[in-house]
Amino acid sequence: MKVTIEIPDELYRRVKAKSALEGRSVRAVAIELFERWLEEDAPVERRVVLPIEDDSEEAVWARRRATKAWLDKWLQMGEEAFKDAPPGPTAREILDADRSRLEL
Amino acid sequence: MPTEADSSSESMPTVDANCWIATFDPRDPFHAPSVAFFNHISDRGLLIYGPEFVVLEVASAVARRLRDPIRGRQAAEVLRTHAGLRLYPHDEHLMRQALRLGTRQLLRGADALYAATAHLTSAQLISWDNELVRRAGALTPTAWLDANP
Repeated sequence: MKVTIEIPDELYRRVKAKSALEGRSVRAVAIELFERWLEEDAPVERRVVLPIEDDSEEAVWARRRATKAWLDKWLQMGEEAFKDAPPGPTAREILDADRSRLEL
Repeated sequence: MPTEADSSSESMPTVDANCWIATFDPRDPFHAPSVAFFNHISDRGLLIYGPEFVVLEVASAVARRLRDPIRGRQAAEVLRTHAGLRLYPHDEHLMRQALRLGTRQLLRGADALYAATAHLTSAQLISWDNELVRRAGALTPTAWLDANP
């Protein structure tokens, strides 16, 4: 459907400039914004129920200690694993390549 | 190198597999900044979110790089023991949000799951992936550290 709307000149200039910078059409931006706005008004779906976290000072300190120890272990495991690894792309580069196989 | 996006408040981040992997692999060019990022998270006692399959992605990449399934599985087991990591289940809610974000922002399927997890948990997405930075508003670990000194 074709729709004509009037908007302030200055607003349109800014929209046009930003759209051009991002390589998108004003139409595409408008559609996205309309969709977002409608989604905001949509009936609230089941919200994510996250487990209640213990944010007490003691719990946070315990988490700090545990994650520090975890990071040390993770780094040590990595050192050992890659000690005799043959040369080649990094594991992250392999992941990146896997993800990008059909990148458009 | 991915560009930097807008800064955000220090909150629980959703972390891409590539950050965990770069931390694990000492030869990775992003190893040091990734370690700094996780150290900072740890210092602050922050929680970290990820879609459930982050464990699979990390394990598979490690196994493929090392040609060693045992190392991959060990990495998965240890990753699951991270005291601050909260894995988001691949339920209908996540899939619906991933579909919405993935199609809107032209993301790859796996990337859409990260973007959806970040969205549903109101967490900043952290990634070394250029596409996630460009299209999904992710911050690199370095950019996140700059924004959260």
